Amino acid sequence: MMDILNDRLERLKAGFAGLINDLNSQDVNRDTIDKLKDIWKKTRELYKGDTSDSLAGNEIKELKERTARAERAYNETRETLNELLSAQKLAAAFRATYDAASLCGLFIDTITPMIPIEEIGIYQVENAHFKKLYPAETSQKFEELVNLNWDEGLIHWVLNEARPIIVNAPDQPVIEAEKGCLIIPLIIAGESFGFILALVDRPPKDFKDTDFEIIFFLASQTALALEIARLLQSLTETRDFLASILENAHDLIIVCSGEGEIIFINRAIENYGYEQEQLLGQPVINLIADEETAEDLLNPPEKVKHKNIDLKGGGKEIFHTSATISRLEKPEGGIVGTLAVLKDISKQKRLESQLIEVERRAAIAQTVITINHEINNPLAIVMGHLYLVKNRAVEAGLDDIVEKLEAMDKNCRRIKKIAHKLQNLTKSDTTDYLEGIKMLDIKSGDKSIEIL
Amino acid sequence: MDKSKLKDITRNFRDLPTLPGIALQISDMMNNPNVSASDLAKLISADQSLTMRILKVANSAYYGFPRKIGTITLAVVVLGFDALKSLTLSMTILDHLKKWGGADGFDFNEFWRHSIYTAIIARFLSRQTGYKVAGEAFVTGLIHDVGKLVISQKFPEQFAEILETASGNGRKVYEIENEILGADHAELGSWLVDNWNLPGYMSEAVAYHHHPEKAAIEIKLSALVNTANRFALDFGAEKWAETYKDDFNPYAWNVLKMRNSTNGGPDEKYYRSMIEHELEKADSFVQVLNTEGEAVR
Repeated sequence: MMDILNDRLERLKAGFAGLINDLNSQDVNRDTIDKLKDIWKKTRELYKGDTSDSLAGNEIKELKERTARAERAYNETRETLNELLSAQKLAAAFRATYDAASLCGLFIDTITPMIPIEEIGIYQVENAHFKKLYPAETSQKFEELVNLNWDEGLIHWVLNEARPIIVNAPDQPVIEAEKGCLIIPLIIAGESFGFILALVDRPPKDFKDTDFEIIFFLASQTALALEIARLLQSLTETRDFLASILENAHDLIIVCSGEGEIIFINRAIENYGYEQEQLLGQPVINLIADEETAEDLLNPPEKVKHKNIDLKGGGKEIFHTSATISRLEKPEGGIVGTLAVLKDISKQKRLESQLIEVERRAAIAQTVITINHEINNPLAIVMGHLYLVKNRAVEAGLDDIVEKLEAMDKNCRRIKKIAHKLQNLTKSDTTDYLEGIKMLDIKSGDKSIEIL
Repeated sequence: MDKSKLKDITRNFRDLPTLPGIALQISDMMNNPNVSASDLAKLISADQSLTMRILKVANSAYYGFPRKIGTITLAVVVLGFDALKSLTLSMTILDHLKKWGGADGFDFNEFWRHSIYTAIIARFLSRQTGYKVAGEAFVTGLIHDVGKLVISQKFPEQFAEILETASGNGRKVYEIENEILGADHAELGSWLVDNWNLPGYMSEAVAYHHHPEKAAIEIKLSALVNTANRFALDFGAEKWAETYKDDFNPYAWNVLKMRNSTNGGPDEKYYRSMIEHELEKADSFVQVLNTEGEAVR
């Protein structure tokens, strides 16, 4: 008796091994499961009434476990496959558009072959009100249905439970309803932000667990796509807004990478004689006239720094700017690049130097007046007396003295001439006198004399 | 482990009544996603008492459905397949267990309450932690301590001894059970669940509900039941809790990725207040579950 049992057990085992092989090759299908179940049943019969025997008990247990596992694997694979097939089309289509209405349309196109839909609407819930996203036109009867479900609290219930339900459509008999009203929540990260309501031409009782799973899965995909579309739109708006602020700012804004390449520059650069495009990707150092100041742009200081930077203009002229330099950092640390905001102060610089020149010349003029007064007056007296003394010396025939007096007179005239030159100075130029000391260059005064 | 003793237990085991046919059919359906609402409704409708109680539960404040649910079909499509399957299975199992009654010294009512609380908390935690099938967690939570019932029924003497040894010395009950019986209530329970032909994941999670770190396949479910069991003890009778209370299992807590407090340990307070609310909400639900099947019939 035991021999026969063992023989049959061996054969069952062999069949079982083949099935396990099938399972491992991932060809799990309903047939495999049924075969497994059959083997398990036969084994069970074989050992009926003797499950206490440890060997038999273990065999049965193992078979049973494997059957259960195979069945679950099969179900999971099949479910996944179904979901994948219908979702694949939708997902592919979703990649092509970010327009909310098109997304809703795609969802409806995907779900229509699965469930006979009479009418459908996609709604957004905000501040305890709902607003239709799609389609533009729905029948009045359908609107009433949505309002009814909303007022009754059915939609709130679905949003709370976060899973789709189907109830009998209104004016349908309680028991044998032919039509149903399907309500599907739109959920993102556990939060419901809207719902889909559909009047379906299929009895609610015919809905299966898998139907709900697929519907919910597709709706979740749609919810995700809608949310992405919404985020993307607000992101684009914000980005455009910020970009236009940057672009149209009067000050020059330069962003350069850690390697010192210009990655952004606004339109203000046109005032410096460049085109925006020609500078993008170029080393920022090309713009800087003074290499020392360039250091701050390449290695931005930890704190925001204000300093003057000289820029080389497109036409080789130099622009003086006042710059604010700050470091661009990643949230997690590390330098991304440098942000510099520059203000053209060339005109201001020019005015500054003009002002200085004017002030300097005023000082010179005062000096000249002083000199004229304090030197010319005594000089006139000296020269007058010199003239009288010289006449006396000539009369007395003191030739050597006359010669010395003439030299004195000549130098006095030189002093007078210099004082006169000072009076006519138009520029405050200087020449070197001794090392580190400058003296006024009075040549211009000379010229003016010539002109005069 | 004493082999002869273990065999003794196993033999005795087979004397236990098996589950009614409807439970097995529902258990089969639990793994079949192609069941339609009317299939499930047909099965449930065959049992009048079950039908009435399920409609009562579906219309209870716990589910808070705004419309009256008059048919089982509607209950299925409204409450969801998962919930209905687990609810039906739970009710049949509960009815079945009630027939056993309790032995001396076994607080049957407290066992009851603890089982239902664990089931509700397991379902709540499964939603919190993203475990896909809340219904599985519910049923497994409900039957996790069924081994205790077996011990009290089949080994009343040893059961008394276990309780006596356990009282006051702070040792873990399942260790004492192992010493005295050669197996603890978790293991015994899993044998029974196997014997009932309930799905394999249930028996594994029942077997390891005190040692989720030992589970091989149903790691998350075992962790869920372990944590739910621990939370349920906070809401039960003091004597029961004293006997069975254990620390929160950090392994299970991590498996479920549940919230930790600022000092690093499990943030049980965060969940406890929510669970309290959930149990309050479930009050009406528990009452219907507890209704005697016989009385309705």
